[in-house]
Amino acid sequence: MKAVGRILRRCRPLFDDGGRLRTLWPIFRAADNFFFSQNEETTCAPYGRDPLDIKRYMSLVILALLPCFLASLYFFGPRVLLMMLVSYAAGGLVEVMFAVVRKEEINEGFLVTGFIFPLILPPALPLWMVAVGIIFGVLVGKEVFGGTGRNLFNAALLGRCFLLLGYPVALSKSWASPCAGAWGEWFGALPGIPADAITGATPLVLAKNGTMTSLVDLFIGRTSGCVGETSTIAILIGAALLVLTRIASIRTILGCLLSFSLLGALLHWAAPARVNPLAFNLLAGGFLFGAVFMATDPVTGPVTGSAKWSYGIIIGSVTLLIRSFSGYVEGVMFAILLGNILAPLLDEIVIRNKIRSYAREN
Amino acid sequence: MKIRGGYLPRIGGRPSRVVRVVAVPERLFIELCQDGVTFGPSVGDGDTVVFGAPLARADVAGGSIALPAPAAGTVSVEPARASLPASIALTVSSAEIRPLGSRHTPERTTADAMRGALAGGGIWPRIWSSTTRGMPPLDGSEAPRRIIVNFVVAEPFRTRGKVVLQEDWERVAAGLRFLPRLLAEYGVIHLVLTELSDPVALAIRKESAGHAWVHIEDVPVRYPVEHPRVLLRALRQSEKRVKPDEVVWVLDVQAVQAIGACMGEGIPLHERIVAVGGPGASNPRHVRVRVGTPIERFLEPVDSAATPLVLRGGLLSGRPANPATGVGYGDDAFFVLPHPTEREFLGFMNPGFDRVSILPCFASRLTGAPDNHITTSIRGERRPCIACGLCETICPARLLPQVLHRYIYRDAIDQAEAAGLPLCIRCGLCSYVCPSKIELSHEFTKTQERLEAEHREQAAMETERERREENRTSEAEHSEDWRK
Repeated sequence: MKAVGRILRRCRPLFDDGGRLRTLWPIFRAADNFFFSQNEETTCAPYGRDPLDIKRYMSLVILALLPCFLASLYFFGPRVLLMMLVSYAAGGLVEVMFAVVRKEEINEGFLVTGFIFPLILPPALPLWMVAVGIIFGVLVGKEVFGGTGRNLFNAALLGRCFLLLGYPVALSKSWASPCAGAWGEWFGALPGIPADAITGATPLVLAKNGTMTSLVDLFIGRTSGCVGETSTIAILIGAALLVLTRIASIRTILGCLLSFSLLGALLHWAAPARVNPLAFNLLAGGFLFGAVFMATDPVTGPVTGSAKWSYGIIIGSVTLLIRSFSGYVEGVMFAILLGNILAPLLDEIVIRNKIRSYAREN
Repeated sequence: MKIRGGYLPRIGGRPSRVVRVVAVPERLFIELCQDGVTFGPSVGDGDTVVFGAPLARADVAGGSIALPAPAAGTVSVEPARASLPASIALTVSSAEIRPLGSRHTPERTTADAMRGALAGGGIWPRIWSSTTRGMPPLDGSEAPRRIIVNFVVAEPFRTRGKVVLQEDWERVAAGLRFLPRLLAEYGVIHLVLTELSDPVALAIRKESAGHAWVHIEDVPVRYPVEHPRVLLRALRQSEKRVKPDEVVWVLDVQAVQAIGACMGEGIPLHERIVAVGGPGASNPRHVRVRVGTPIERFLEPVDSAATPLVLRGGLLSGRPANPATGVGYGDDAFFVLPHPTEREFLGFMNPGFDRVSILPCFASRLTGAPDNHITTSIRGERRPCIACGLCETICPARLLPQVLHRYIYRDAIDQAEAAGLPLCIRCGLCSYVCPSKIELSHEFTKTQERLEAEHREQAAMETERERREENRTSEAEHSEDWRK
């Protein structure tokens, strides 16, 4: 601790006003703030403040993502770590570049974007594609709009959407069957994956062709699929943490789950040939991961609390409709991006209602 | 009654129920600006005054109010200096409390006599009226249909109703007997308490038994339940019979106690029961002090080397006070907040046994420990709004602070006004909880002031135009006459 403090103190003049590396001040500032909490004093009432800050907020999201990350390490081997590093390095570069140009501080929001991005990609995706995806996501999804807090779209999802449209074959053929701990071969195959592990089908694709994966496998995560989405149990642990700490909006999650379940049960009863059974639909694919970690992103969701219900309902039902009645086997990504587009509209409705209620009251 | 929103942070340094009496110092300092009213001194340098004599007067709607001398002594008028406001310094010759004038009995007092006594006794500004959103007019032009007497104070840390009751039960009871004199015909007094099963509530219920005009209400203990506008709104929502244009007055327990002393014993407002608390106070407790006592006389900060910030008022609504200034006629709290000392290493990873947040993100949620870590630091970095929605959940006025912030950010203040900005009661909770450390409350106050100024300007322009219009028509008539 003291050593870190000493190094930071020694480096400070380089980055301070008149220092040689003045332009890189945001980088120094980010490091400084990371290790030592800020002591800026309040200048207006209230003079004391709540201890919760964005760092704590975002680190709890990362903590909630950790079970998924660990599960993916277990199922898809050390390559996941490599993808994570690439994602952080490439995305971080864009983030830092923009911070330096804008002369603003580096935002903690990127830590979550960079962490979540590899978790929503197929495990055998070439590493350069990971880099291209995150760069596009951060650049177009976030920085163009003015950085964290002002972005319209979830940056990670926009990056994935770009990859899906730009490299459709890679995105739909880079699946791997889980290795579950037998890593020897996987280490040898780095930075790729063993040739015999590559598979062409996820549970949802298999289901479209009539083969159902067992629910136990889906629950534990012994299936192919995107890196972080396969293990339902890991997602549930993360969800529990997010809901208990009230970091994620319970309204969004419930809205997603309830609408998905209701519509899923109803449509399965009406058209069993097209719509998968509800339990399978819930556990397979990225719906749960999306509902818990992506739909609850506060920035890209609606701003007002009551709009979060309808936001969740839209995401849940659109996911189901895309899955069941379109050419895509998975729809959660499009559903959330659609939700992002609709969020300002939902807010507007809530605000109008609120204004009407003020008028009634006075 | 139900309260929307609100929040009660668990902060360390809660004052005990012990009330210590602070000896009257040799010199008292009475500020000439109290509760937003600027008084003009009615005494000169070197004058001697007796206990209760008016030191200064101010003209308000319908009459004039006075600041009664809290002790007998010699006066000197001190003009405003660099850090000290204009005040009257009173060199105390005798601290004796001597009843002034006549004692009243509740049955034979008229509203006029009572208003006069309260205005002269320094108590009138302690009454809040729903029509003026401040002191009611003195001339009797409004008689309240309802008076809310609030015993519940949630903010960390202001003098709690229970402490006042335990100290001055007799006077509070006397005050409650006098209050109906101020009511309009068939008026109602609402006593606001925490829980109806509480021993204090039972005692008050016994006291008011048989009085049909006394209603007892209970509210949750959540800041800002003590705010008059929050109480008024809660009353309107719980009782549909309250008409929107009904005049409602709100008083707190210390005001009722002062009314009891003033009317029943002829003693004007001269002392306050004040809570001294916060993590920076070495001995958090209540003190009974004479008005005008310099704050530093009873403060006792933990560490005398580093001067902490002293807030006049609670943690959330308090403003920095100079420890050399005196206790005001309306003060009931001083919060001692230390300055941050050193920067914490990897603070965001701290499990947080000693910090309390609105979200259960710290370990203190499991142990129930209070926040002893709070300082004047903003405890984080300023970031753009991430729309976490915390401000919306705690807003007692049911506003959407995050939406208002967006409007103000892009300078759309008309939109902000339409979205309810004038309803903001400036409780400060939104700024307190914001994880992005945005100064929401400050922003709203500034914009409210700007809007008010704009409206005033507009009204002035309107009258000016009307005047010109009038002039022009009269001139036209004139010339018409002349032509004839």
